[in-house]
Amino acid sequence: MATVPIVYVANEDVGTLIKGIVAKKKRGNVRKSANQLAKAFAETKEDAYSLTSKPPKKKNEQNTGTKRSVQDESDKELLSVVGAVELFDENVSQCGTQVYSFKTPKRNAQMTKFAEESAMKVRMKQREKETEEECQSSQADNTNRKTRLSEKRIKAKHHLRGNVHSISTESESSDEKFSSSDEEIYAEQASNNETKCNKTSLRSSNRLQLPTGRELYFDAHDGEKESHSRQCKTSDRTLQKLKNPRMAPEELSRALLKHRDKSQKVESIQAIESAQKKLSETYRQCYKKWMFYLCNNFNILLHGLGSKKDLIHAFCSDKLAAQNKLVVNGFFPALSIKSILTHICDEIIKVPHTQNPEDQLEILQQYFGKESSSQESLFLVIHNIDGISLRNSRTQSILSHLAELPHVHIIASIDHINAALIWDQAKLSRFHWLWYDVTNYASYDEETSYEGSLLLTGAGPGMGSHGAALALSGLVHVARSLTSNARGVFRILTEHELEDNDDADTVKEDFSFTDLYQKCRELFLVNSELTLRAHLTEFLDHKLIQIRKGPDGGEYLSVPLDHSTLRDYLEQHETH
Amino acid sequence: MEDIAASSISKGCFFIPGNAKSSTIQASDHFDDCGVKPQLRWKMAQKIWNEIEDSISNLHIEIQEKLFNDLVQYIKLAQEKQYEKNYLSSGKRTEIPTAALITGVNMTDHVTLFSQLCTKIKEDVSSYVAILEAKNCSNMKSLMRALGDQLLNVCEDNKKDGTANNDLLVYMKKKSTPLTISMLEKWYFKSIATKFLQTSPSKKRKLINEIPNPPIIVICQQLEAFSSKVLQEFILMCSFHAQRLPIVFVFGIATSWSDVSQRLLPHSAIVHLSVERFHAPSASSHLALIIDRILLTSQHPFKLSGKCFQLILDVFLCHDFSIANFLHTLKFCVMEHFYEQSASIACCASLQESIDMICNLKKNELKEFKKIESMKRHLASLKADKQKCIKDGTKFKALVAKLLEDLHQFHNCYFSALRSLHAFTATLPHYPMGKQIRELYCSCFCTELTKHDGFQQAFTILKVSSRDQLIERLESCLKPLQLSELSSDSSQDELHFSTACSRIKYLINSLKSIGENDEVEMNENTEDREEQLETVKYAYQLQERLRAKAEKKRVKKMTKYEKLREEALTFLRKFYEYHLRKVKSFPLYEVFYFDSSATIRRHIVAAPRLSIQTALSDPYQYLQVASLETAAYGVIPSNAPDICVAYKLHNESGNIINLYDWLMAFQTVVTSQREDKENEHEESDDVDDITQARFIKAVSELQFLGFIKPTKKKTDHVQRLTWSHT
Repeated sequence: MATVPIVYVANEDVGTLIKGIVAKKKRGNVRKSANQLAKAFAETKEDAYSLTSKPPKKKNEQNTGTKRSVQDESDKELLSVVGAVELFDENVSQCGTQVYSFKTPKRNAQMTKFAEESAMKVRMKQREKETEEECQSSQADNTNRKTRLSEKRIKAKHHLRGNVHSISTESESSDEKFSSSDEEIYAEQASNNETKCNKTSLRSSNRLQLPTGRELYFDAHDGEKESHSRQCKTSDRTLQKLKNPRMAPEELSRALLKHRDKSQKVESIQAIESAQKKLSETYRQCYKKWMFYLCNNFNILLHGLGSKKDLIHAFCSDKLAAQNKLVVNGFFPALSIKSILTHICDEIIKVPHTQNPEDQLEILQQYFGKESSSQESLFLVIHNIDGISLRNSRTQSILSHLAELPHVHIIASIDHINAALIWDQAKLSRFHWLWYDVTNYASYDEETSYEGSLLLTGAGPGMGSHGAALALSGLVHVARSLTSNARGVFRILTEHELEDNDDADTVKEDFSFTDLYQKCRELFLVNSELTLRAHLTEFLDHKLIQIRKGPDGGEYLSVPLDHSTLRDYLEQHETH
Repeated sequence: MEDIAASSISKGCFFIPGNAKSSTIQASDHFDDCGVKPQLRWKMAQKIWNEIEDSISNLHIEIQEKLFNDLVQYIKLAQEKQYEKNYLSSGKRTEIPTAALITGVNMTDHVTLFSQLCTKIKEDVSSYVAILEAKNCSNMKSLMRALGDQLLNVCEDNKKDGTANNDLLVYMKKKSTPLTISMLEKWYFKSIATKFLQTSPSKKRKLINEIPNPPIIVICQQLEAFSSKVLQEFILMCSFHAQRLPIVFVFGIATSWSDVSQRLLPHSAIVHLSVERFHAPSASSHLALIIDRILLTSQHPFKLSGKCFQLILDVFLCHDFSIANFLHTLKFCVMEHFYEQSASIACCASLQESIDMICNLKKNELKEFKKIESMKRHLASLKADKQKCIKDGTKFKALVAKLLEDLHQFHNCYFSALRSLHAFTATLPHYPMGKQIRELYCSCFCTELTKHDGFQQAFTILKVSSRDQLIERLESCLKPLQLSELSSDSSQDELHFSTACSRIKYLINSLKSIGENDEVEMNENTEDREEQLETVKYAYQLQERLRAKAEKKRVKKMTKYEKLREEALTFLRKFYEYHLRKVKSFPLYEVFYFDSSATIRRHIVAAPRLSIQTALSDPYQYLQVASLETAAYGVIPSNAPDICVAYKLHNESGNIINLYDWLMAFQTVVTSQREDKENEHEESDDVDDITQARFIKAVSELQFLGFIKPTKKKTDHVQRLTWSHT
């Protein structure tokens, strides 16, 4: 037993010292601190060393492992933390800051810096591996060249407003640290201790990371003013800088296909894909259990990252082939509860459906509410029960009443992070969900196809690649049912909207009502303000225009549709 | 099989008929088919759950019976009183009898409570009952409609012959007709008259004597949800007609009457009500009763482990207060237990059944018992020669049977002892063993009583208790022991229940018999005084001697009462420590106990957002690929799923994000690995199509998940929706 130096520590300091140690343990940071008390804990820290290299799922066991070796009073704090974690989460023993990124102050171009750092770390790791394989002869100049390279890259990438100088010095300093840690690595490599290498790289990453907790706190909760001024401190670059600022949906899918082909050759991506497959495989084994619980009047709710569409489809074809089912795509923007209920009424009960969803619900309740076991069951398969069109509380309450019925079974999925907020206690108790985490990292191809994106052409906000096509056909339909005068009014509006687009930098000015009236009168489209208003009401009802009050009290009109759609419309319209 | 990948740009629902007609689903078909005798296990699960459900519903009825009887009595009486008033004093009756039913906060279960009440009233008092819900009563017209519909339906049930003149009824049944209370009044008297005519003359006389006109009972569920204006108008209107129409209100109130009277109803409305309050049992006391009577008994073989029990309770107390949900979770536990644990085949109510079940098992089915965690531990602790005989089937069977018998016997005493200990310590200050018996149960499940802090604390407090208190406590702890009837076949151990009972009785009696006065035995000897006279050389010697003397005095001062107290406490201590051993220390406890709180947590109280964010920030948790391991420490592996890379980068930004910068950073990360190979290829600010496409996909997926949304604050920016500056 080695002698342990005993040092006098003031009472108020004990707390901070202990906290430091506990925190260090959690982070897996193994920096040897100079203070002597830490040495007393050397043993336990050794444990912590070995922990970091193990998979995190086993963290709990490790913690209990450290528990045993601890006798000191100071570690009671750690124990109590572990206890609480154990009670509430056995398998996810992570602290919140790792999973959730809480409110932290953000600096200019921090994202770029972060990306650089992490990319460098990745590259460095690779280098480690390579150099392990190589002999150590050409080490020195090799690293020199590489650091020089990365330095250049950083300087090139950080075109920052004003203070280029300070940034570049910062990056240099980080490079210095970097190269120093590199040297350490090579020194240690001689002893072929790979785990230590990882540790040192971790250590350097921790050193690079931003200020202490106290500073972060004050930064994040600064006065209102300052945070306000910080708000707009993103760079002014736009996507116009790109070769291809907005991609067409077809291009996108083509590129993704190409990516898939390419990645088939890369083994690191292959490994991940096989892991994904393994995940899906494990979920598939639950099918029998899902069916069992569905039969026992529980409803299944799937959550977790990744599209659950395929999983549910496979379940349907595997287990529900003989059953009546209604597949509902909750992500479909034009869905309504009425269409769901009407489908059920039409296809199963075959009654002439009534107007009101509540009345329909009553019919269904009578039909499916019977206790007899001979009654056929209906399986409602709802992809994204948290979809935009299903989010309102009336819809959810009707669905929950359906879920309650003994012969209606629901299997549904949620994706939005705030999805659980759509149900209150009463609804939840009617749904009787059994939650299943089916994280599978599958891509949300179909779900996102209805969504708007700034990066795609032909997609206004609120409408995706499908949406653009829908908007155009809707527009044409509406236009056909109008008088030629009304169409003329709309054409004036559209042309004005497109004109504005030509000089993108000026702030867009909407069409004022009086201007429009003037123009329409000149073209003999309307003879009074009243008729013009009548025409506009028609457009308003179809959400083809928006009216807002201007600062002068007048009304201003704009067309909320995408410009390419409008252009297409004008071209098609001309031919009609 | 048709392709069910249903998608379309014009439709959101797709009906797919089943290909086999008239197929009904059976839960038994989908029960796990591996393990020991799955079908039998499924039957047992059903049986046990039905038993639990039955006993709980019996308890429900028992609890509600008194309340309902009181209510019905009140309604009947109100009716008679009014009758007297009308005919004897001919004074104007403007007060409406009102029963304020205070239900407490537990909305989800109340619907069933009120519907039960409704049927009860229909049976016993009058068929004119209407339940009003706030959502149907946004204004006077819709309220009257809802009221009228229910009342008219009632009368339709009454007279199926339809001989009565129904013009009015038909008119009133039209949805478009605005109903008025005078119409209702007219209809009411007509319907009574027809009813009166239909009854036979002999019955008529009786009816006249009894109730001339049955009351109309209007039940308002959750009064707080109604708009105050509508309620006020309704009450005033009813009071105006109260002289002729015998209306009785029943108000369901979640908060308290004073709250309603001060906030919801103005004085002008309240003066027309003569209120009597009724209290429904609160949800938590109701649950405590269920736990006490059903879960913490040896009556049902299925039991919950301490941790699971705690978790379900927490969900109840901190989330919803709903008994229905509690029962649902319990059902899930039962199902899960029989589904997953194949040893649950031996989970029977009586020992004989369990042993029979074991005897019928085949050899490979018995193997399942060896896999149980506690059994493994037990087997490992056995001696080598015994371990050999385990391989023999029959001997192993005998061993399992023996262990099950032990458990059964243990359970027979366990709950009575638990109750007894609870009664013994419940009145102590600061409740060292918990206020409720369920807390005691949870702590006894996983910790040994001797190591339990509260237990030690309780006994140190008891050591200084006074005689009266001690007698009281002993009597209270005796009661549960006496209640439990046990076959006295086991050995006449001093810790056995019957002997323990007589011992405690004896202790109580002897405690009572000691008088106040005969406490000190006067045998003080004068030796020490003489000793004290000795001179002491050093101060520390004196100190030591004084200490020793003080010690002696303390021992000597023990009175008769103190001795008895000591005796009683040591006995009880031994008794409890024997009977309340740690459940987990028994091998095969898993047969009876459902002990997977993680399963409950995962499926009943899931954390969907945690799972998404964990998957994004630390993909290694789900994808066990070595290269992803570093993701937790702020490094982004280039081969991580695209969405994870985009997410990690977006964490580094403020409340709005420049798409271009984001794309650049994304490219840096994604290409970090590749660039090593093509070293000289630098200064490539141009983004290739593939990277851009991947980025677009990742961003739109993040938008779909609700992390960002497009914003018009600045060109080509998106807004961050989580943990950003606002």
